[in-house]
Amino acid sequence: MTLNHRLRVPDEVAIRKIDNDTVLLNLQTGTYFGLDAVGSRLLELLEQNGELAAAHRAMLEEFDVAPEILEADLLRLSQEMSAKGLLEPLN
Amino acid sequence: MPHAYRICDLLLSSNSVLPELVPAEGSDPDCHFELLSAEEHPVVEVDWFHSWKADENGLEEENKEPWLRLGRVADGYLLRFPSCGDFIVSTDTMRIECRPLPGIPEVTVRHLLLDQVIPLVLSRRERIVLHASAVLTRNCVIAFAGNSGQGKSTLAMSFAREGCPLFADDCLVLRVGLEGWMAIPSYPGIRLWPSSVDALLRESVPTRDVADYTSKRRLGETEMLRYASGSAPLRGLFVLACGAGEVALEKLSPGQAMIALVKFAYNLDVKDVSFLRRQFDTVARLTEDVPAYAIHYPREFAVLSTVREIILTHLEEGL
Repeated sequence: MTLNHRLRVPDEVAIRKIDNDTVLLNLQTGTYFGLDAVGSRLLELLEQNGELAAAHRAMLEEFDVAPEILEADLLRLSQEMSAKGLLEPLN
Repeated sequence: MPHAYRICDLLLSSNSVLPELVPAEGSDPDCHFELLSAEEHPVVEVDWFHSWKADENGLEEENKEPWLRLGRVADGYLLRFPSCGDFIVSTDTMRIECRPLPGIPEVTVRHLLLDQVIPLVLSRRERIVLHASAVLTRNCVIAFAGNSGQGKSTLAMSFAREGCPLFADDCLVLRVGLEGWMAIPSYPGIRLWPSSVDALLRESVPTRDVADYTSKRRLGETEMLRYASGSAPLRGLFVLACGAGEVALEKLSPGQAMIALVKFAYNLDVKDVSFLRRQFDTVARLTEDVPAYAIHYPREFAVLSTVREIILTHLEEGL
């Protein structure tokens, strides 16, 4: 996976935002997943247009983090969520 | 003439005596249990959809067949305990039939009915049913959720030993209304390992077999051990997080609490998408309304008094 990927939350995933956290449930597999404030922000940005690169740019403005570290974190999280059926390629 | 009992506010009629339960009045049962003979084992078409490898104590042996298999049959669900027998639950959950394997004692059938099948049946009838023990303290309920074998019953028993009526052993029904979340008492019974009985009960108390395959002991109501009989508000949820360190209480964020608690919710049909969505929303509301904590402590009887003290002090301080 690279920042050029576009991702979306599949229809069969329920999302609940509670305070700064987000909890996702894949209704087909019963898999639950919790996101902290940073993960929740990524999901929020992906829900806007699905572009990982755009999410990376926006989060660089918002968080005090080196670009390469943020990129690695976003890709790792996106891969993990994709493997659990909580994200899928857009189009 | 069927016998009638109440368990978790469910009026249960039965064609066999269930001595673990308190007899109840009522001619319009919510659910009827029928114990059939071991010979009555018709072949039915089953659509298996789930299985539990680990047994009720959280133990899982490699290459062992599942402890419980769940499937759909023509008019409901089949719960197959491969070493004990079948329970068939009607789709409307108003009827439970048991066809035990030959030689399975009735005490084992009753345990599976009361402590395994009925919690799953209730999951279809109630807003939420947690795999948790609970006690009544200061007119409020505190619940202890945790994995099987993690010490929920032992912790609840340690509170009961100090005068807090027991509310539930491992099946806690929660309802929400204008007064907030209310807990419904289960039935007067708690199951403990013999080591817990020896460590927690200073004088001898009568105990009974739980089932033929476990050394756990069942304790009913005695003068020393009281059980709650009416619903009460839920004040706090404590997730057991046993470890090697010191006793510590950690406040969980609603998101953390949701992830922690959702796995302790009973669910008869894990493939029912609309049910899962409702349960997801219910757990979210529960964790927004009721404070949840992780309680860290080493699994030693000697620290239980400290665990109790920390929890009760926290309750006194208003959570």
